[in-house]
Amino acid sequence: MKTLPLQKSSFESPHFPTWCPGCGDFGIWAALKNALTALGYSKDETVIVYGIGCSGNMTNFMDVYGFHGLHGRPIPVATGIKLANHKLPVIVIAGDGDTFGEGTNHFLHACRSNADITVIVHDNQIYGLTTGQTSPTSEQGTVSKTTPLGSAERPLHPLALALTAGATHVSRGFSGDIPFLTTLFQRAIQHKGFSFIDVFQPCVTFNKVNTYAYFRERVVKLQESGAAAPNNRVKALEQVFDTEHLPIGVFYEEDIPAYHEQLPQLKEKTLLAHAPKKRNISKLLQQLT
Amino acid sequence: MIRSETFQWKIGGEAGQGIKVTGQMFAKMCARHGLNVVGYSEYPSLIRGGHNTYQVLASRKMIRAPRKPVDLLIALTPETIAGHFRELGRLSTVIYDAKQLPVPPRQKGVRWRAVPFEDLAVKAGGSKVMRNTVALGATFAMMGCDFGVLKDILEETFRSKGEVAKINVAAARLGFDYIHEHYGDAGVVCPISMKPRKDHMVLTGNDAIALGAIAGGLQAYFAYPMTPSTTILTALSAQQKDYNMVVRQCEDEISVINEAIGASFAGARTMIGTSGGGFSLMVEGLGLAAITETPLVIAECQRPGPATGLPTWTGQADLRFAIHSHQDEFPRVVLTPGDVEEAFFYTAHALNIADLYQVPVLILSDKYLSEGDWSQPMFDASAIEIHRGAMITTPAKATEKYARYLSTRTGVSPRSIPGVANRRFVANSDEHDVHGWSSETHTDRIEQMRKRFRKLPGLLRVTPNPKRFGGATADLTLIGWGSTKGAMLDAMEQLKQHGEKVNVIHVPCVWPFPTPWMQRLWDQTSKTLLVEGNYSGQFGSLIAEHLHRSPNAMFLKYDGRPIYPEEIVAKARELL
Repeated sequence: MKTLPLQKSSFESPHFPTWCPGCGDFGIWAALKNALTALGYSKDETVIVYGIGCSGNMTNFMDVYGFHGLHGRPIPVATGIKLANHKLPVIVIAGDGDTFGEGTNHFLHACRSNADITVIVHDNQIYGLTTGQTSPTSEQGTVSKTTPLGSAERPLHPLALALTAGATHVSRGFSGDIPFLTTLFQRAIQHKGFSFIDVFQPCVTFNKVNTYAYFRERVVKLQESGAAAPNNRVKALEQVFDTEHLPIGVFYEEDIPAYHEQLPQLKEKTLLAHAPKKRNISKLLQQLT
Repeated sequence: MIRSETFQWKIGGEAGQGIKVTGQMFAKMCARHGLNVVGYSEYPSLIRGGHNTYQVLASRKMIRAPRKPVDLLIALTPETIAGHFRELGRLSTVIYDAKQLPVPPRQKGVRWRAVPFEDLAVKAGGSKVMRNTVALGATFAMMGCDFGVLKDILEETFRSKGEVAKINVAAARLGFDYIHEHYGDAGVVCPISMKPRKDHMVLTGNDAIALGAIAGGLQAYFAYPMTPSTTILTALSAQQKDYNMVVRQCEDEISVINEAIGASFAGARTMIGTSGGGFSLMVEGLGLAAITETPLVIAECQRPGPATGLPTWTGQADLRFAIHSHQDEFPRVVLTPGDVEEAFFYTAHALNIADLYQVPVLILSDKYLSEGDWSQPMFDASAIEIHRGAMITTPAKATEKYARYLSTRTGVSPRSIPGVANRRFVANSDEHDVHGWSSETHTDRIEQMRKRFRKLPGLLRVTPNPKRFGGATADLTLIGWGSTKGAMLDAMEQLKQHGEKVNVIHVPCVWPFPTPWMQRLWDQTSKTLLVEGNYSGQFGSLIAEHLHRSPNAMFLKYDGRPIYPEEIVAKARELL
């Protein structure tokens, strides 16, 4: 799989990003290209499945095999791709609206089935592309176009959901710290099983609360805060509810067979490699007599 | 003793009393002895209790649909008698347990044969649930059959269950002997001539779909359990290892269609299955398959709606839904097999059409076809071929400018799959350019819309045409689609026997609407009777739209029950 040397510019597409200047998506984009380069995955072998939103617009900015799916639905598409050809790294680029609004059911079940995909969520706690509505991760009281009186609901907690649904790699990053984010992406992509990484991604146009400044005051690396417990799901859960700081890093990781590794028919070959030229069903027809 | 040619056997009881297993054993036994069979079951949406029935129409002649009149009724409960006495005629016989019903109702001519099902089951060493096997034994005696035939099928059915097989045989023997001992020759009420016969299968519509898919090179199947499509999932699950397929139950139908599109995009030959309500959830994904031109086959086994509707009953009310579902417009195929043979071959064919034209292909079945048991000469699957269409897996040179969505003469452009060198593209839910990059320009939009629709003429050529049965000239033509084929053909035969000139047009693919063929066939009709299982005559509205014509009359049924040949005959007589 490794075909060095690669440069991050290898992934550049004919389209320059249309994101607002300063958007956190740029940091994620950079870290992703860095990580893929460092891992040695070529453009032809990399599959990225995008959701719908500003993050999903990354579709046009990466020269790989891409699938721009429906809002909330990149995770099942990625799961299906992996089942067909489990030799390819399959990465999901989605937003908090995709993952914690429209498609939360898919997220929970991908965690539980341990599908071997990497889900990177651009968590900007707002709906950007549709011009400024609250998202399921917006803080209670957020004033937005649809919540002029302040949002009455509390936010979902992405990391807690992932941990309780059984995700085997749970991490969080910040788009403003590209080098650290790059290492997190590398670890997440390399992990065999379901990897989830929630990325704080300031939306400079529509979210005036969770800004770069806001994050710089609160973000702290897990290892530095001395609180990392990557092998203990319950301890990790306690850490994600830290209200004083916003720790980033790997909260939890475990090594168990991925979904596809439990299917005997995929032990020796990929599903694609099994493609039949002709099928003999005489035995099955005979059983009906 | 006059041997009859055709008879209908029906068993009724509660859910959990083995009604279906008993019925299917009986159907299989008949088929192994030269009888054509049609098995039809009715059951409510519950697991225990309620009222379930299973009926088998058996004949030496060709039969294609169940009928209402019952010759031999086996009542495991009093409800069975109360619920079905209207189906009994002057020569019918009812076997019942006098313990449950000490005094049978009066009905002219009906023969009542009390058999102590429960006592005999217990005597054989079994539990109450083996009453159905005792009843089966009694049935065989009443048909003048050899017990050995029943013994074989019981041993086969319960082969993996050890002692249970022996007890079942004992129970059946007791039922069999009881009839001979207590009723003598008068006990043989439905003598039917049986000769051993090999190579006839008994299978459900869903068996046919599952097998057709496997024969057609299926690699991945995704589904969420929903009556009456679930048995496709269970049948394929059982074969996943032997045929190296991924068969997966997803968390919901939205995941089903999206996972399937992912697998197909990555190169796997893929199908999904559901019923109307599940298809409603898949509708969003349908357009995703269409705009990304990802091949996909969807088996939709209809049942009455709206909403939860009648989960365990039948209907043909999703026709317009299948044709129009999803926003905006794109070409699709809707196949409507009329019997298990078409269900088998068309499913294999659907996988080819999907790959050749890179479109979604729907197969519309219904509970009646999907869950009915139909006898059939062994399929010859040797001619089934696996065509992947314009899928390219060979790398391109770095300088080659591969364009996945190139606008070609046929509308079909070569499709690469992830992993192939220098053939990268984006499969995009957004409108896009020839490489798949999101695009909002008016030129890209027009080019891609026209490209997708350019596939239509090819689709019309590759899909099965409407077919006429029973001769070119007739006073009355029956018209239908999907599973009404059998009932229409049997009705035609019954009418012909009475000297009427009737023929049938059956439509095995309703979309793209086969206008030229329908027009030609329509022009040769005199009077027409449309037969379908929905309230508003949906196929009739398609005829109006595409041929600017209306049938003289419509027989529309929407009560969840199948359309019986005798109902069609009655309606036809009004017109002839």
